Amino acid sequence: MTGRLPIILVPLLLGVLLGCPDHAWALQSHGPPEGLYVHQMAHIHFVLALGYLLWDIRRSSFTSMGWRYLQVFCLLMIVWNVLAFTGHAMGVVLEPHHISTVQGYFQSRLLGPLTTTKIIFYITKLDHLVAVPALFFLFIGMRSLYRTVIEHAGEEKK
Amino acid sequence: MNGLPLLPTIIIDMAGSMADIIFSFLAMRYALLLTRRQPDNFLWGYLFYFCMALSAFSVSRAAGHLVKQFLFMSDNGDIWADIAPYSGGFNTLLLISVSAVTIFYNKSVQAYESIEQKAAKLKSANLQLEKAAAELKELNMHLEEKVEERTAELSKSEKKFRHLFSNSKDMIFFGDIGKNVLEINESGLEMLGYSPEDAKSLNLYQIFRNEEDIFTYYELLSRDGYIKDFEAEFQKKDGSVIYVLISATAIYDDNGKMIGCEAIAKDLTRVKTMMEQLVSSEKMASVGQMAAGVAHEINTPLGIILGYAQLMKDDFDEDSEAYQNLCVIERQTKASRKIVADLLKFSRQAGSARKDIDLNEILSDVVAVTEHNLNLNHIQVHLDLADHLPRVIGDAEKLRQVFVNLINNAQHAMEEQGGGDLYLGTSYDPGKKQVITRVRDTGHGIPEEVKAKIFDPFFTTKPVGKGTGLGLSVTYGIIQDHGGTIVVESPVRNPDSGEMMQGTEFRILLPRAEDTETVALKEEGGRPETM
Repeated sequence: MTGRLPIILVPLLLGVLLGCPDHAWALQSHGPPEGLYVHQMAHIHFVLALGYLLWDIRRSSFTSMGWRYLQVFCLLMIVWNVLAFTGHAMGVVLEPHHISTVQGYFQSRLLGPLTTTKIIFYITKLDHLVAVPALFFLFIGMRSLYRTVIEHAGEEKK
Repeated sequence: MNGLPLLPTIIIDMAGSMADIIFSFLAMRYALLLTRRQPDNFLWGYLFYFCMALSAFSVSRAAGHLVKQFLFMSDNGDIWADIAPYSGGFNTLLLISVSAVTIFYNKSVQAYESIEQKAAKLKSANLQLEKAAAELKELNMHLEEKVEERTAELSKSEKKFRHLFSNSKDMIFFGDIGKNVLEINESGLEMLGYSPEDAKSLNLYQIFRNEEDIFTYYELLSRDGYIKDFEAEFQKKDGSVIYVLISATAIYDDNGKMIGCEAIAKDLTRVKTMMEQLVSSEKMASVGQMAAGVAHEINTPLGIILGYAQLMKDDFDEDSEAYQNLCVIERQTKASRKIVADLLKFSRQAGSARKDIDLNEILSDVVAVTEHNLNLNHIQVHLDLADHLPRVIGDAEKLRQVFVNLINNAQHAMEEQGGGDLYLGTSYDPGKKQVITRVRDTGHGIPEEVKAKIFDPFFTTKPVGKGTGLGLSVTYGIIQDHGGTIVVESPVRNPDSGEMMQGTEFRILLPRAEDTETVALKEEGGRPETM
């Protein structure tokens, strides 16, 4: 009896949907803020993934320097994500007239009076100060792991 | 003019973007090297994909930022407005991708750990296997050494016991429960007169003279598990008997069931003979002493009786009855005196005249006297005298009496069968320096049970009145007196063929004249031997 249920339900559902075309249930439309939301959610997702990775590395009890550098990378990347997330949020709050480009792009200024929002925005614009060290730690972490493998291989040969 | 200049953020953004690309690619390079170095390692694979996704994100983000900066620098910000959604979308996509890859770390670690654990187990098992193999190899080497050592010990022991088995002067044999002889040493075969070929089919029924002894032997073995000093008689291949003392142990199988025996048999024949000779000698010595005493005591009254009887004969006529009676007294008294004289001879207390004599001559004299009588009794005399026979020191008369006694006995032994052959001969044994005289008849022989008594005084197998039983006693006494030995063999072994012949042989062994003085000092040593 249960095997026959989809055979009955599927045509019935199709019939209802085709019979009521007033509501556009076929496709959802995407408005302008959706891209920002998705991007912000991606940052959150990345923070959670990095947190999980950090926790998992510590749990895995890998003790070599390479893994320690990777943990530092995770921490810095989390910080960077927080900065980036905040920066994106501040970008929404900040109005275009708060930045002056009258004297050319290189002479651009964040106009006063300086509020907390503006200061935070300014700081988040410097996110590479965290992102670059994070990737540097990733680089030295990978290099350290590689060297450890080479050393082990040398010891085994001996 | 207040506010903050954005130039530092622009510079940091551009420099940081380039640094991001460089470091992320450097990280990806080492991740790639790791995967190439250990392609089977899940963890390096994961890190490579992570670095690759991150590099892609870095490139996307940095490229977007640089393009943006350059567009703004060239006053083309409106173009950036068109590109920005794509750049942002792409950044978002790669950001999600990096996040997605990051989450798979745990699975990679699990796979890596699982493989590592299995590898560690395998490695450990391999190490243990190697260790076990090394131990096994060492054990094997030691085992070989042990086996070699034990084999050498076993070989040495086997050699030692084989040597004992082969070279023992006593008989050693192994028997099964079926009373077959499984193995017997050379001394045993020699003792029994069998050849090594005979040994293969030898059984205890052939060896033991009495069947009862076999049953007793096996009964004691199965009851006690061993036998100590079991006296038995063994029969040799030629039928002769030897006396043995057996010590044996039962052999059991794994179930404790008796399956055979191992035994050592010592030949006691010579010891037994010597013991008998010793007993006989002691007996003869005591009988001789008694006979000498009696003879002395009787000799004096016999002399008086004889003297008076002879004196009284003068008082009567020769035809008178009293005279005849006195003659009977005189004759019987003389007979009694002869017996007394014989007893004295046996006990070696009668005087003798020693001189250098030739036994061939004496034997020829005796044959000359007795041959006629022997021929009448259908006895053929065979005289075989050795040339250049050494002379002996002795009383010729007494030695004649010895030979007469022996010939008389031989004649008596052949009377019943109506004749026979009498072999008389002399020879010299240079080894023992003895002159040997043989007297052999083909008569009925001497029964085994009588052999030990033939030299006893008054022992005779002749009918009453036909012998005094002193002949061989006197013979024995005379030979002893001459420092010689008398040997009896009945039946007689043929020295050439080894076969047993009917009859009896007396051998008289006397020292040659040159050695007589030496022998006289050992006079007590001569004893009769019976075979």
